[in-house]
Amino acid sequence: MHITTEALHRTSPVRRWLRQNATGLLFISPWLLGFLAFTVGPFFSSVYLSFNTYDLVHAPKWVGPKNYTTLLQKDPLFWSSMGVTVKYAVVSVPLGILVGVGLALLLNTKVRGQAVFRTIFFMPSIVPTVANAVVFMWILNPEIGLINGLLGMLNITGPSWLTDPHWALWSLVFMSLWGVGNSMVIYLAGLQDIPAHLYEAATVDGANAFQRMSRITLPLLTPVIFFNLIMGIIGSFQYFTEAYVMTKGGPDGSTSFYALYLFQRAWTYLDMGYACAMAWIVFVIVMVLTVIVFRSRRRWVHFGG
Amino acid sequence: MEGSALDKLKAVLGAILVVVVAAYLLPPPPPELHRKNRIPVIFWHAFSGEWFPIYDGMIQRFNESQDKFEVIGVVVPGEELTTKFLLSASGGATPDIILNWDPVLGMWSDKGLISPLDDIMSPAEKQEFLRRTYPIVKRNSMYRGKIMALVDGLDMFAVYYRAEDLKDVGVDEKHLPATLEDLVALGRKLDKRDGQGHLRRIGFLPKGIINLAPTFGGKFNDNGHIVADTPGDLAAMSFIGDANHFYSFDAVDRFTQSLAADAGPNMPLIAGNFSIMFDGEWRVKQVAQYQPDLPYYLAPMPPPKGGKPNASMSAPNYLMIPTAAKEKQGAWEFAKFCVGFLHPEDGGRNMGEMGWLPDDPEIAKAKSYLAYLRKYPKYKVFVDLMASPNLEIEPQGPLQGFATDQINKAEDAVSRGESTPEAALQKVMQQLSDEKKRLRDLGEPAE
Repeated sequence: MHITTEALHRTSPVRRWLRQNATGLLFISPWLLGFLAFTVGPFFSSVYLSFNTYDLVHAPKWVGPKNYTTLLQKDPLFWSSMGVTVKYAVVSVPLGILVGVGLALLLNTKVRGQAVFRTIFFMPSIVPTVANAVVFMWILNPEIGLINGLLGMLNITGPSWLTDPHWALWSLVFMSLWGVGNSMVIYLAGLQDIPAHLYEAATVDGANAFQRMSRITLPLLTPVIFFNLIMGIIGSFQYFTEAYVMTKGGPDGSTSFYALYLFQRAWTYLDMGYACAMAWIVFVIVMVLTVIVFRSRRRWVHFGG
Repeated sequence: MEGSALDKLKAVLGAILVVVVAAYLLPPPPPELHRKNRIPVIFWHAFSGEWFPIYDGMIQRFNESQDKFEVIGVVVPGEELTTKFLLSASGGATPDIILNWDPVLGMWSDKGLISPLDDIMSPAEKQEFLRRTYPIVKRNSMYRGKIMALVDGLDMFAVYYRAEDLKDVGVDEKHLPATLEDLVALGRKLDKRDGQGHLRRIGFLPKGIINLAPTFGGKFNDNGHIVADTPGDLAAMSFIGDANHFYSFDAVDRFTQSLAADAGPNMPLIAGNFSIMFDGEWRVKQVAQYQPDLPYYLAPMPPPKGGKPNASMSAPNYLMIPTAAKEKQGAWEFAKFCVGFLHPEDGGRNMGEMGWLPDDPEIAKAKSYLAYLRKYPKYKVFVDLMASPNLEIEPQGPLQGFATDQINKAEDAVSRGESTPEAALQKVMQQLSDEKKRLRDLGEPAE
């Protein structure tokens, strides 16, 4: 079993690589097996299933591209759910970045109790999504909710946040800010990575606070903003749990998100093939958007040295 | 030496890994049997919390009555039961029997997920089933001419009146409304608003077109075909729309969202949020449990002009035997025991303890069930309804889930005033037609 260098050279590169990495592969094999069986396998089988009708019980039946053509040409719910999702993404992603960066800037200032404030703002992001949703259902209740209670003290009648089609989507956007602590921590790390001497030099050169912010802080934070933008886009196209728990797609379809419609097709109507086609369409959209953002980074992301 | 020690370590680690992976991948051991030499029958249901000991007690009674089978009950959360079952069916490892209240009978039958009970029961049993079971139970049990499920608890709807509220406007049990129009007029008298004009009590608020439609002569199931635009459906939808416009949808929405709970000691009937409620039979036992001294009256929904008396929608709990079940005979024996088919005294006790309606008149006349009715005399209103010819069943077929969703969305649009009843129901029919066309294009059953 003792492997000499000469013997290693005689074997094929793949075998050599396997022998050299056998121990490492052995250690990660439980994860590797799980990944192959439960992620890679379903990933590729869903491509095949998207060209079939499949109800979980019977063998898939090949229908060619019909699922795709029906979705794109004959399914109004596909377009309306895509519209809701895009609307959510367009507003919630930039808003999340804005609030995340803003909070990080505030929490980066040296004040007493800084660590406590950071903990307070981070804590909501570790609350489970469903628990968050249930709490917000109460906060946003039009009659006995916290927000309308506060508005009532100002003699303002608050809207029916979750049951008025004009407000429901924006309520969910507002609620998404509750979990901004996660990205805030990353922005904070990014801020602390900015060399202090740059600020010192700028101050010596007479730059004011706004100039330091716009010429140093924000440009050097763009790699982190770039990362959170990509994650935000992916996350918003997968938005599901809050809408499933709080609004079930209502009122009047105003929160009928793409992932919710996909879930309904798959598990309520047992249209697994159709749902797989939906999943692949959204995958392609997210990939295209990611590529666009990646390509645009040369214009606005500053990687320091 | 170093290399050989490393090789040994690798071999040991490899062996441990193989054992761990094998332990993870091997099927779980069969559930433990409490009694030796019994054939296990795995039963999935969703009765947890306060219902669990009652339902589990019934399972134990069955097991004690047996010398061949032993039912092992597995509680699966209600909202996950359908998904979990579908996954088990795709893997060919279903339970032997399942109870589900989701509207799945048509879809599961069409997909071959459940066995026709005709193939499991004896010819004599089938004849007896067809002879003794209430017609509405039969309609709910059957799909495309086959008996696909037994009904273990059927929900029916009638009108609950809070006696104290009615007393304030001089109405007693002998003068309950005779028509729906009278009921609406009475309800309006019972509305209460605070100083700012906000609703604090609604006399009567109609809700749920699927449940209300039969009173107007409407239906959603026309000999196995889903319909949603009969004159009765339209009348029911208009009725719901009118009520929401009278109060304004926003006012109703705010009021209903402020209610504490749908069940438990703060449920609307007990809390007095509504004076008159069109609600299900389960409330009788709930009221007795949470506020036994609450005075109320109970009566079938009075018909509107041109409507139908003693009408109600029915919504069953289906007791089904999956096609992949390993122990179908044991499952069938248990199913019969649960619903009391050919076991009226057992059925009377089971149905009474759960607060359910009997599947056939023999159970309704069983001593055990009569004892339940003596304890909850108001419940008789629902038992009497069981024989009514004006009962309806929910949409069935491959599109039943889709249809139910679209009908509920249509009701929402009408309630908000965003659509007329005619347009909303026509849209449902159009959506159904489009969906059928899509399924046909894919070579799938659409009706």
